[in-house]
Amino acid sequence: MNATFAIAGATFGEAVRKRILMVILLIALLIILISPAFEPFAAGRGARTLIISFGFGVIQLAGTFIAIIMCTGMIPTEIERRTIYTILSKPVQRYQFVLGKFFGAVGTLGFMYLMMGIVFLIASRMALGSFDPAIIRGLLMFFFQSSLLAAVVLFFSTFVSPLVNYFLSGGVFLMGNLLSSFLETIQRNPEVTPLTRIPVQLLTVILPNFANFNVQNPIINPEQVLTDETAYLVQTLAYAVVYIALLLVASMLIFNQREM
Amino acid sequence: MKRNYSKLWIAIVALLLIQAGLQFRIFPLWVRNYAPKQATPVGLAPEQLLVAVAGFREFMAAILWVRADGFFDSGNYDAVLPMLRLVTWLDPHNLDVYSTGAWHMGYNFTDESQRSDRRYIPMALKFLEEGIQNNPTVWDLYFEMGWMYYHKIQDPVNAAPWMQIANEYPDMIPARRHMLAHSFFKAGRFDDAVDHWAKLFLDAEKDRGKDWEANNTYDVRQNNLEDTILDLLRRYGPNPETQPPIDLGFDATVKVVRPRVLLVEGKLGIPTIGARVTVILRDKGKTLEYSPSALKTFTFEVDPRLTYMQDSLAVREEKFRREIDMSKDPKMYPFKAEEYEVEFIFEPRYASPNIQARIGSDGVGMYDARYLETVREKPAPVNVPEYAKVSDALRSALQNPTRETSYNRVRKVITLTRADILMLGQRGE
Repeated sequence: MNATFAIAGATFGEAVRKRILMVILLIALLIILISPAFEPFAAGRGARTLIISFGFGVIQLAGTFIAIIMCTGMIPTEIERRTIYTILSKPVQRYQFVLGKFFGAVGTLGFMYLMMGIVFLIASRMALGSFDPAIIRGLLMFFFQSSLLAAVVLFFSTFVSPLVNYFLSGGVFLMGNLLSSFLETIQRNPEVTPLTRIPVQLLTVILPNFANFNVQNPIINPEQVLTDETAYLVQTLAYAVVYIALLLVASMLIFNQREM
Repeated sequence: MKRNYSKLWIAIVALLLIQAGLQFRIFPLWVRNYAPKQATPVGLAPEQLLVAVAGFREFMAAILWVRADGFFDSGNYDAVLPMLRLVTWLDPHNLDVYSTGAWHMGYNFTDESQRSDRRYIPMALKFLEEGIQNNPTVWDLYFEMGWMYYHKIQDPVNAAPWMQIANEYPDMIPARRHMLAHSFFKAGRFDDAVDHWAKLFLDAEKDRGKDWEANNTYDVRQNNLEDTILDLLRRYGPNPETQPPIDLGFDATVKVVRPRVLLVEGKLGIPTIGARVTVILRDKGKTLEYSPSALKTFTFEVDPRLTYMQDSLAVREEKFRREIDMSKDPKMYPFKAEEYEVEFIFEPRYASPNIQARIGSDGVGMYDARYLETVREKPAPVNVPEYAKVSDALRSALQNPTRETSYNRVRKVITLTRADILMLGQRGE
């Protein structure tokens, strides 16, 4: 376990030193900070919608970019630089290496989300005049979304090149965001045949569902009364943990079999 | 080594099944609480769709809503409609969009003489119904639906059920609760109106002295309760002021003065000022169904072949007269049917209080030898959404309405042909 955490710490240190990730973080922080400037565009309730949705949008987008950029090169770069041989020649198992890399990535994401979250809370407090604790719930869900995406990218990085990984992970993220809406549309349309519906249902169950983590709508529209909200949040977090575990086990399986 | 791999495979299958099970449980809750509610994002440009998918759904909706406001300010009303569709797809819980959008459809499409295009009203009701389905746990849109019936359609019988639902929500704005009593009264449910005022008054008494607003609410409710009881006593009690009935001597004529221009005039024997006669011109045998269920699915397209004009004519010195020009709005008045009915109606439910004092709000104090008729009504069943926060008793009562009320009105119908209105063959079109 020490080896896992040592690798996680090294990965975290390496990630926060990466200029590209810091640039993304700084741009996101800057944009969130100036989001109160949108207030004059829509008075009253509209201002809340603009500022909160914009803040969440920026955070989600930054989290997505950070997760993809950080994780695509994690394993291929180690192989390319041949540093992996030095690591694996020590008493470190391959699964520990994969786990360490993932925990390092999650730690980095956590740090980034903490920074963006604090700035977002300050900006929304400035613009709306009150602190809304529901924002923290939204941030937590997006953090889990990014962590799941990081696991997807890490999984792909065990067997594809970084360039392919960018597109592959981006595609999975896009599909994972759209599939639920698509399935819901299909289910409501009586004219859709089972031949179309069943493959979509299967895909929705197999692919990671990133739309589950987008809970910003009720935060923006607080007058909504949700049904079984706690159950939803708990199940979604459990879903993230289980799916991340699934991807990590699959990553270990592939990485273990990989010739180096 | 091989054994380890098989363990990993087993773990993968097990985790895959667990996540699938979780996803099966999450999906219905996601649909109920978080899903965009329109079938397809028709009209979103690819880059807008991408922006929406990238987590900026509500932001995109807010920007589009601001844009729609710009179209509204510049008078480009047609452009607002597709915007409404997009915004509600992106953010189905934005109540302002539903209430403002329905108001826009119900009130703002007018002809050159500021007469509403009433073909849009079923659309407004359908839009509100969609909003209610998407937001069943808040009172606002039930109230908006009730208000559309009460004010725009002037149908208090069907306004009351929606107001009743809104009144079940404890967070409803106090002043808006009054509308239920007004609806009951206009619908002829006098006992329910008094009961509701009494209930509101007792509620206000609890908060009396708390602040200026609470005191004001108390005063308003006390006055309304007293006025309602006094009005009922004066109109329907011993020696009622509504008796004997006054003879309205109602009559109306219509003359085509130019193609698509009608001169309507007539008489109504109401001795005081403030009476209004409604005139409706429509395709013969066709009427607008003011109900959310009139449209199967939501659409922004009105029937381009249907002609429907409604106006309200002021009565002065027991006479009314107006030239109704429909020649400048061929899209609103296409005149495609062969025959038309011009309907003149005077009904007391929305008459001014001084008139109601004499004839009653249900017309018991009016008489007409030729055109008097009694209208009996009960509200249409309301399909209360599953998650609406209403009692089972009210839900059942609204789904199976039994209470019937009646009122008197005078009504005259004149039939015209297309050739008459377009003055075909007489230097007309």
